[in-house]
Amino acid sequence: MWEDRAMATADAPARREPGRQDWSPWPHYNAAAAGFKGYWYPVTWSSKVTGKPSAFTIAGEKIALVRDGRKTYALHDRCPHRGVPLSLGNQQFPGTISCPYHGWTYNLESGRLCAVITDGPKSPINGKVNVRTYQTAERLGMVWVYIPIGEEEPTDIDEQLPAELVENPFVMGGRIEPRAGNWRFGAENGFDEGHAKYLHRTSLWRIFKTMPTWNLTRVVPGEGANSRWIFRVQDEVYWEADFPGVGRWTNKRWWKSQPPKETFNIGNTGKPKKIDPVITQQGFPGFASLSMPGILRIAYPNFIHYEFYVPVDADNHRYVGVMVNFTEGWQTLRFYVKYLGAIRWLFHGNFSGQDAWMVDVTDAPPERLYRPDVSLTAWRKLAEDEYSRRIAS
Amino acid sequence: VKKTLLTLLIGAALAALAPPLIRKAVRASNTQVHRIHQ
Repeated sequence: MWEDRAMATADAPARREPGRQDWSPWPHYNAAAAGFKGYWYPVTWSSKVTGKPSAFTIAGEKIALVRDGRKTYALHDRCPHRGVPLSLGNQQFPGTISCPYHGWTYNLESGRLCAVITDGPKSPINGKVNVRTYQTAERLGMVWVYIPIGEEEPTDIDEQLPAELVENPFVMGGRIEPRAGNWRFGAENGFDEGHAKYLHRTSLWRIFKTMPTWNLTRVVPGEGANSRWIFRVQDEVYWEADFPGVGRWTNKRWWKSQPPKETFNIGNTGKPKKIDPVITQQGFPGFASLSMPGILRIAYPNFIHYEFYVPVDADNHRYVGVMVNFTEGWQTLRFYVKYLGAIRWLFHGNFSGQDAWMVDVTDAPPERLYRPDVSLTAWRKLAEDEYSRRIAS
Repeated sequence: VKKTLLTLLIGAALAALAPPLIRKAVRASNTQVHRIHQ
């Protein structure tokens, strides 16, 4: 899609659409169609990584993931001999992976060619070829891979994760799904101020909850442990409105819970009766927040929902939705039932499917932004500033 | 009698079809739950 658009512009300039024609004010963000390198990305569930290699593309890099003993390994998924994917091979010796074609065998830790089965034990090429390896880590029941910018050492994964997920025990349910559309549309949609109250008003997850009609919102930077995040702060929430010459619009229905009188910043449908102490302790200024390289956090009174938009290539990403409840002991069973019976179908399924639909069909730039899109431009600025700092260091 | 037979038939069809359909949907959803201890 991105290539097609570039060609269309070069060959026959299209009719000019209103508004901003490109993302040139954010050059790094504009260039990151296939994702930002220099970050950790969740790839798949830990239990899915076994001794049988599997193939993934993350931020444009083709990766073979394999488990040896208790440790996971990631290698560039291409045998330098003839370009065959190593993920089609298997493990002939402990601690190695062998190409399915001629048995070129690589050490999983270093990526060094350590045996060539079809050229004998004294093969002269042995030890002279390397495949690139990637650092892996296991967090939140998933395998994460660090995609480097160059040859640098990986950053600390725990500094990239939301602090509350590093410091507290919890129970979580999650869904990993390949999705069409650029990862930036995923991130922008997640933090988009205007969309949820209108797009999701028909979702089953919101069938008994009134969604606002419109809000007055600010975006503020986080502080302390949240200094890498930006927050959406709702200053005013309107549940109905008269639109001159058109009519009245509201999402209020007789079967839905009545909206609260005052404005609040945890959740977006009702005044919370009780807020989880771990969530209270975080002191989030707003219920929606976003950080690099595309991590969305939506704080509800009793759980937090996260979305990780993992870039695959310019036209595809992986959606990783995680619902977290800060409980231990028998209370976790209640969450299991709730997640497996309802949340994964209603929230991570139907509700989130509406986002997937929009992300797939979004086609920008050009774009003519409106007042609530301060959420989009603030995110682009955050991405631009953080990545500029990262490559400068 | 007709009604009972129809009910039994629909019941049997549901009992036969529902588990594989649910299994298929669960697999497609690629969901997992985890307890995380720090």
